This record gives sequence, C-alpha cells and structure tokens, in this order.
Amino acid sequence: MVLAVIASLVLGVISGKFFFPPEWIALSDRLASIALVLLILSIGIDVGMRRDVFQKMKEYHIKVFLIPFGVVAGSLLLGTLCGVLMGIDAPTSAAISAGMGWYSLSSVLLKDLAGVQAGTLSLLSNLFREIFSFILIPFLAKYISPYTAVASAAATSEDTTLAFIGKYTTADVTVMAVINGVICSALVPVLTPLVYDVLSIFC
Amino acid sequence: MDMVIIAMLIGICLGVAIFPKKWAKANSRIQMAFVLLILFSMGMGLGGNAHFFENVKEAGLQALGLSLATIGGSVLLVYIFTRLVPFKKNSKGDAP
Repeated sequence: MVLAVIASLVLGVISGKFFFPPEWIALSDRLASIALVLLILSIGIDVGMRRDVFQKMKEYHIKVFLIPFGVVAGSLLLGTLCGVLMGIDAPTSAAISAGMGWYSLSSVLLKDLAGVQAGTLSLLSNLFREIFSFILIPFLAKYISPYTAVASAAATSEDTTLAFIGKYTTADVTVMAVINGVICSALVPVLTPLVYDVLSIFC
Repeated sequence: MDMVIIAMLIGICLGVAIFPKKWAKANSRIQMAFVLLILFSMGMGLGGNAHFFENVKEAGLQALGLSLATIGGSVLLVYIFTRLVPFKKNSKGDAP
C-alpha cells in the first residue's frame, strides 16, 4: 500500500515535470475532484457496512467514545499549535492533524482544500504518524498504558497497526482499537474540511 | 467541500441499507484505485511547480514536527481520560 502510494505520487511528479503540459495538469485536477467525491462515497459505504463494530460499541456504552475523542482532540490541539509555531497557517495545520494517520485520504482532501503543497505535507505528516506508531506501540503499551498505544495509531488502529496492537496489548484493548479506528476513519472526511472551514473564518 | 460530507453520509446510508457484503472487496479495490488516481494528479501538480524540490525539503521537516505533535497530543489526552474514567466493559456486555 505504502509503495503503491509513493509510486503513484512519484510517477505523477515525473509526468508533471517532464511530459504533461500545464493544461493537462488543470484537466487532471478537475478529474481528481470528481474522483475524490466518489472515493468518499465508497469510504462511507465501507463504514456503513461495519455493523459488527456498531454492535460492539453497545457493550462499552459512552466510554467507547472516550478514546477516539481523546485521539481527535489531542491531535487537533497539539498538531495545530505545533503547525502554527512552524509557520503553517492554523486551518491547514488543523486539517492535516485531522488526518489521524490516514495519509492517502488526508492528502487528497488537503490538496482539494489548500493546494498541492498542503496535500504533500499532509501525506508526509500522516505517513510519518503511521511509521512512528509502529515504533512506539510496544513502548507505549509496556511503559505508559495499553490505551495510549491505540491513541498513537489513531485511524490506523483498525487496519495496518492492529496486528501490532494485538501483539502488545490484551484482547479487550484490541477490540477497542478496532472501534477507535472505525470512529476515527469515519471522522477524517468530515472533520478535515470542517476544521479547515471553521478556522478559516477566524484566522 | 460540502460535497465530501454529503457523499460520506450517502455512502453510510448505502452501506447500512442496501450494499451487498460480497461487494466489500471490490469496493475496497475501487477506493485504492481512486486514491492512486488522485495522488497521481497531485504529483502532476507538484511536478509542474518550479520550486518543487525546495518545497519537499521544507515539507519534510514540518511533517516530522506535525506527526510527533499529533501523536503526543493523542497519547496525552487518552492517558488522562483513561486514568480519570475506570475503563472496564459494561457489566451487561457479553464480549470476551
């Protein structure tokens, strides 16, 4: 997956730099906007089909939302603060932070919201989040708390990092990781444009 | 961007109500195809930019800072929340 994502981006860069004229780039931009809406529709279908996870949520009641709430609020707060300190505008920093490790979707959303450079920054930032999570999960699970291993993984806790979380935590935490991943993943396409638009009004 | 939220809501309704489970894999492949297509287009936009290499160098450092900050924020708040609220399953639940 990571290789396909990087290869696709690199091929695009080479094509844009050496082969395709600017008018083709504008056309591809319009096609990408249509593809983005279809992608989100397809992701929505995926979320809607996860009835088993919705069932599990009932067993934990309101507490099940504490972890994704902490993941989202923590990401947005510190991510936006850090972005602003590094000279990135607040709406872009918050929108990138709302990607929660889902680098492929976050980058295409950011491209649509704030341009190709913001899209690249989001791709790198959220890709780094996934890579660092793999490194941090064993440490966090052992020395801090198993739930913080889920927090680090954010939206990836239902897929790529799940096996790692399962290995270093308990079955109960693994179930929470799946629920957290589904909730975070469902929030990424909604929160990213929302925080960008809201902060754009104030900043 | 409203289109994104509307598409997400329509997708969830379709997934809950009518989308056949046997098409889940095909749906996942379609997602991947769209992601790659959009990233290719993003790459074209980047490649067409004369300052591409300078931008990537700067973006790398910023991305490093953002990724560490988002992880740190999430870990900190989840740690505090799970300390404040006893994190046991609902007693009526039947999960393992």
